[in-house]
Amino acid sequence: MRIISFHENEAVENFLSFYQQTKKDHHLLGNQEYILGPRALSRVSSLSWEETKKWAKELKESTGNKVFLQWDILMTQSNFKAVCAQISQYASDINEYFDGIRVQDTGALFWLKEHKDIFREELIQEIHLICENGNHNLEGLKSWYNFWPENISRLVLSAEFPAQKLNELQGQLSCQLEVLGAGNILLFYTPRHLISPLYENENENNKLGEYKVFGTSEESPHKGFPIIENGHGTFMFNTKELYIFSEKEKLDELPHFIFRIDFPIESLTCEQWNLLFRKEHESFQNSRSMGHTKGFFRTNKTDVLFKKLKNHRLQDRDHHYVGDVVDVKKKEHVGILIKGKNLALRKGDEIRLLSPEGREKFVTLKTIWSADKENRESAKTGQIFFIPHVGGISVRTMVFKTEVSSH
Amino acid sequence: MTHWVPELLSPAGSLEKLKVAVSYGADAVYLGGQNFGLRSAADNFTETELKEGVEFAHEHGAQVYVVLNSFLYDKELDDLPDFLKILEEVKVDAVIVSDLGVVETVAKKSALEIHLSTQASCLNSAAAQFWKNKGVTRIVLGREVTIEEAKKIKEEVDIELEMFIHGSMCMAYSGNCVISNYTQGRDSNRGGCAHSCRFEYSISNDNSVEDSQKKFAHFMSSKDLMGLRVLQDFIDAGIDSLKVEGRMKSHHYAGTISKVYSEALQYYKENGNLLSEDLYRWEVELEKVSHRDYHLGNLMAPAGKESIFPERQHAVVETKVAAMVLESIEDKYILAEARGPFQAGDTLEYIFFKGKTHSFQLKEIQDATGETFSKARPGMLVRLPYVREAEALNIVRALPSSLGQREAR
Repeated sequence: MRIISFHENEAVENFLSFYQQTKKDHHLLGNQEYILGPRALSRVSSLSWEETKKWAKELKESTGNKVFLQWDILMTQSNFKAVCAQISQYASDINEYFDGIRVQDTGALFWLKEHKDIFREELIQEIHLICENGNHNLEGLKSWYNFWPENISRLVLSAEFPAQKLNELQGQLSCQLEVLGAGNILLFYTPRHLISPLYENENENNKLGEYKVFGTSEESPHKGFPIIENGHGTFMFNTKELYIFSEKEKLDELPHFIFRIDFPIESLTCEQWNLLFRKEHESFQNSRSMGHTKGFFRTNKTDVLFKKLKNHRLQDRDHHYVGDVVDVKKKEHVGILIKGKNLALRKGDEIRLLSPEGREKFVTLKTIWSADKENRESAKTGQIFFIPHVGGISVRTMVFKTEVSSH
Repeated sequence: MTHWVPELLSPAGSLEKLKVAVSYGADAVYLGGQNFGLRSAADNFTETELKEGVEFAHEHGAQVYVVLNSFLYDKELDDLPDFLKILEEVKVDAVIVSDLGVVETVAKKSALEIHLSTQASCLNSAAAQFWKNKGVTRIVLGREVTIEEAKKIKEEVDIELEMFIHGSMCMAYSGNCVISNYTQGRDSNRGGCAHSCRFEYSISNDNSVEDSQKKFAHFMSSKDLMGLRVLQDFIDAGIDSLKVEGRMKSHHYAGTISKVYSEALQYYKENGNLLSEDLYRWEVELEKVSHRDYHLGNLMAPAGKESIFPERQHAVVETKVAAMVLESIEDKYILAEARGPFQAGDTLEYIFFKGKTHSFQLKEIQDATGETFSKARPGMLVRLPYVREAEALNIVRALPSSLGQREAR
């Protein structure tokens, strides 16, 4: 099953034109659903409410397939109240033109449940909850579903899941599951208007205040991030379009998944729809102006790299840790600060020194002295004491009391 | 009569920073264990350090919250109950969580209080009610919410609210940015953020145009948040906790910010207003730590174009950290660890835990054994002049020469 998201008039026109040409070929078209949203409710749509309704009607009449209302913006309190008031006002239109509602904002989900009576029963039983940001564990996904199990008919999952994980999930969640199959990958969403300040004196004719530009950083090898600014804020997408339909073997293992086709940056032409549905993967990809990626569909190793960022030797502090080396003077002394609570070191104790580079030395405390060079019998928490110089030991070396001393 | 004030919640990137923040007046600190948090590169706390940190904080009347705000995968969720047991044993006061699966696991497997992380982007009263029903006792609101909006959320949903008052700002809705995932192979919502929003970008209408037709800008780098001037608004709105960002930042930052805001809150507590003659001094102090230009973010109104920081580097801060006091040898000298370079003739300044600072011109530099040097290098143990009020964990700053000579008089 495929669900197709439309964001502008041309996108629907092209699709309907393709559909008319192909409609006899049921096998090719397969099962489909559609997503439409007005720009007031949907992140990157440029459709007015009237256009949204018009296309919803036409798509249903032409194809007989379901159309879902996209309400995927995030809303702070003032905007939330205003949008909910609008939704209430247009409830009869929503009931007439749509088969279900898609939301991401937790508040929107909660509000729909509280106000379910203003919607017709069949519509409110088809809530698609967008869980694309985070939500990487089964426990959380189950909990979202269980918030309103009779009405949440679908969870939209993160594009960061590899196929293997999607496969595991499809057997464990009792609702429909959807994931992005082909389209632009959203990298960030902010309510701030980041592009218009750059064009302040140049776009007097831009009455809608909408911008579509490309951004490139010298500090990244990736060139040409598509960026959209509109009334909801700014949205940056990946430089490459996601395309996983060529992964036949993996897709065959996901028979119950619904794959979304979602191209807000550059909508598909009639010919491109044709190539996509005919599974002419290479020709389709060659026909697009952006490159393509399989994203994390094959594997996701995004938390491997940063595990290497830390010096794990400096973290290896067990209950024998007593402090740090704070001063080293070659051939003279090593200064140690005793940290922790109620600790003490005495003459005769054995200590283990572990340097940031991993060098390990064992020393028995034969003589210890203070900064004033007065000999001491012991030192306690908060005090600095000195021992004869130990080669290969530097500042930040950790000091442990050995098992021998601890007993 | 004392007046109600919110809690001041400071970052604790390490055990030492925890002690610094608490000593300088934080009412609570938040920190990460070795896993499950969002700041993978921070030192973070081992179990032993966690125990010591909690004991230290509690002895000083401060609370400790542990972040579990990474978006966890199933395997990690399986490992979480063991860590929760440790957190309960060491008596942390709450955990900060962003993922519903983690909320459910904490609620089922422990009696720990749950604070909802800003990563969950809770922006409105209906969302707040959802999380309250899930057992969350405090919500760290999304940074896009204004104080006025927060007040309304508080009125509609009887739940503790926490808001950011100071520090670096994410440009995106928190939890909704995956730039690092796709460009650096590092999961930004699991501790691997590469700060791509701080880069300079060339912007053009068309991908193929020449450089001369492009606009070059740090278009998505946010200025830092600084809410001292609107502290009264936070108090009037009944915001329960004011959070300072920055577990990756220095001791100087943790100490200075904690001191300034705690002094301001203390003043309000005693006087019921913020008309203190110290207001200017507090603002000057906030300028002395490394930061991008300050801004009110979304606190009073949605952030506009003036909220963008147009540079790559932080503002140049002329005041540098010189040392940290390790031990006071009564009536003799102060033993301090040099944290930055300084030399004889420089003007240094002790920042005490409370009240005004003490600056002095350094006539000579002695190492720990009293031998004289011309310069101190980071890591060196030095003797500084004895001042009765100076104590372990006090920060010592080096003042710029012009300011230093004036202040040292």
